[in-house]
Amino acid sequence: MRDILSAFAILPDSNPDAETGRRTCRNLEDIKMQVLAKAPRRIGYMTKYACIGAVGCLKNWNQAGNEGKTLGIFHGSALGNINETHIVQQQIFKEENQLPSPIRFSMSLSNMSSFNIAVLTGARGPNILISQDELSFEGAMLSSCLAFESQSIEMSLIGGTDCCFGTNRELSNALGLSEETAFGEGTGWLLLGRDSDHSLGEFLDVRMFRFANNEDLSEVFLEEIQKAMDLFKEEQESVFILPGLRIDCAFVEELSNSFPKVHMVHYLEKTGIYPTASAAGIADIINSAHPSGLYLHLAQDKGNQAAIMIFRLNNRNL
Amino acid sequence: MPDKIAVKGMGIISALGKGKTKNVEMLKQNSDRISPLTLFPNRESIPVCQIEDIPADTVNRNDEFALLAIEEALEDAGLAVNTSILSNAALLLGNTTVDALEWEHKIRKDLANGNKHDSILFGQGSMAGTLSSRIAERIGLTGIVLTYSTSCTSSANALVQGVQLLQSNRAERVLVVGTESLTSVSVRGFSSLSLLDSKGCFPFDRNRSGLLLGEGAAAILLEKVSSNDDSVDPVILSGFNSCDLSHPTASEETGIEGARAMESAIADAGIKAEMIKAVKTHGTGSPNNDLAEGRALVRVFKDRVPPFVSLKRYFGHALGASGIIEIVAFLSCIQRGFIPASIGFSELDPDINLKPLSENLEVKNGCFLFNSFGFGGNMVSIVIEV
Repeated sequence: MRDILSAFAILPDSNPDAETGRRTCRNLEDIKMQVLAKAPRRIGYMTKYACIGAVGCLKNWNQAGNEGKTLGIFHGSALGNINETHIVQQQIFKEENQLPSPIRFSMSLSNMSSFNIAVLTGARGPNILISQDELSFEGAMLSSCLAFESQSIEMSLIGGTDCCFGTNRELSNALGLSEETAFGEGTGWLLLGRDSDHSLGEFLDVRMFRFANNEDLSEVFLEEIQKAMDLFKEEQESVFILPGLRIDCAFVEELSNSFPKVHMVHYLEKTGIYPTASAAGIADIINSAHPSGLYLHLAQDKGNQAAIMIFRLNNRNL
Repeated sequence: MPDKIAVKGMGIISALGKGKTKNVEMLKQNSDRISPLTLFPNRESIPVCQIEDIPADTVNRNDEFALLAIEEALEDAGLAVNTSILSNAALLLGNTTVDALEWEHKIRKDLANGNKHDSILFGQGSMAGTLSSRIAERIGLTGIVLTYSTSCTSSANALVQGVQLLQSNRAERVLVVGTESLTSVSVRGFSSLSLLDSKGCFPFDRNRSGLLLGEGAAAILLEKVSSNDDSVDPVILSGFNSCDLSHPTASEETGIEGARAMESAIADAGIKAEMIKAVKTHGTGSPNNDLAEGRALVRVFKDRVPPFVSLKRYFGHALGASGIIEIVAFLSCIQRGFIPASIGFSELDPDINLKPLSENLEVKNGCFLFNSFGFGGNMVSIVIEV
């Protein structure tokens, strides 16, 4: 368990681009100017998003006395620096065996995002990039928990970032979703550490598990939710469930029936659909006027793995 | 006394061959298997460490490599694939190339047919997690699955966190796997950075000028054992990850960051530097890495630098899989009573002033330090006791 010290999200605009049909953050450059005193040069599009998000999160936390604490960076991204990877491939194959631009090649590496964040924040602790499809942010969170538990860090910046790329057909192929999906892009970050006097809440646990089929998953989720409530729910505390990507409507209805006093928070309407939308959704909830309570985020991927993240908002040092 | 994290099984496939026995045999003979790249067309002929045991037209090379290494690791531990024991085992995979080779084959085919190729990047399986999920499914593993994508330290990071996962009781066993295939993007990308040596790989040598790329996979099965356990399995004493902020694709040249990683790993292992019997370096053969790493060794060990080796000339630099391939190879050699010589060295570099092990060294046990450094300033050092 760690205190949630700060959160930051970049959400896409509500209306999709007329041309692409996808939602992007059209004033990203403005946000960048506000957040980054000196923006790094020669970084990929995804890396730019991630840097703004991570630095924005750290900047939201202004408590003295944390200098010198070991800060780790744990970043999840399903698609990585996809824009740059595509350019590199085009450069190579445009004329058989061309050399790509060396700078573009470096920019295309997924962990350039976590590296640039480390440079901007001065974080010399563990620097991890998890790429586990729709559970990339959850994987990054688990990675961070492991580092905390082994005492190799005292604070961590955990985030998730994915950017739109290609056509809707290509995205739908990659993600196994329909072309009519309301695709979005963005980034979300949490800063975890120890400072209960100034925290926004507590991050309690993340559990990842595999399942055999959808029926099996429903049963497992129901068990996990009950376990979480037995373990963490305080008396009179409200409980909120955040259904993530791929959690289907039928199951959400089943949850409402099984747990009638639980409230559903459908954050995907705000974030748009992309693999690490949970990061931005959770960060936005923490930063918005959501009520105090116990929050359970449910997520699953195409590869029969699911995750539950549990946190409490104790509102409200906002 | 806290429980220990033991290596219960290991497996490997590399350019040297399939399996630990073959790899150890080649290492004992100090033989490499460097050959011209033939897996796909390349503008110039370059030396690589390419796996010949798997047919060149196998596009899912990452999967096949990983499965062979896993099968051997499980067999080594007295288990089989799809055993019920894997039901609460986690899979932590280090990989950066995913299905890139398959995409590249499709792109070439489209271009050869005169078709403008689509962004095939977005076929099913474009994302890294799909590879690890496929592998988990094929071996019947139903625990946590995570993919680490931190360039050349990917599998080393997976190993560090595999240990942490067991210590936190989130899994009963952990399979740590690293797998990488050669791809055009890797070859052309490293060429663009002028990081490839057209003649091979000469770690720590005065005339070294770059890397030799390779491919392969290795797997380690980890389990928590009681502190009283007196089996002869290697034990992971510590693993340390840090970030060198100085440059995205080069190491800080004074060696201070590499030293920090090594010193921290040694301290976390609860031992003193003088107890390190030998070091398996990252030793890529690049002017920058070997200079920085050599200086780091001196910072840590002063005038008592233990025997150190680079294994890059044997295996090539297998990127994200290099960490675990080299750890498995090194440990397998120790279990056979020796450390292999570091081949490719002939002339001392006065800026480093260190000479790697020039002949096989008889060693049966001790504490050993393993370095893995990567793009994005990623530094990993691990201490293992045999």
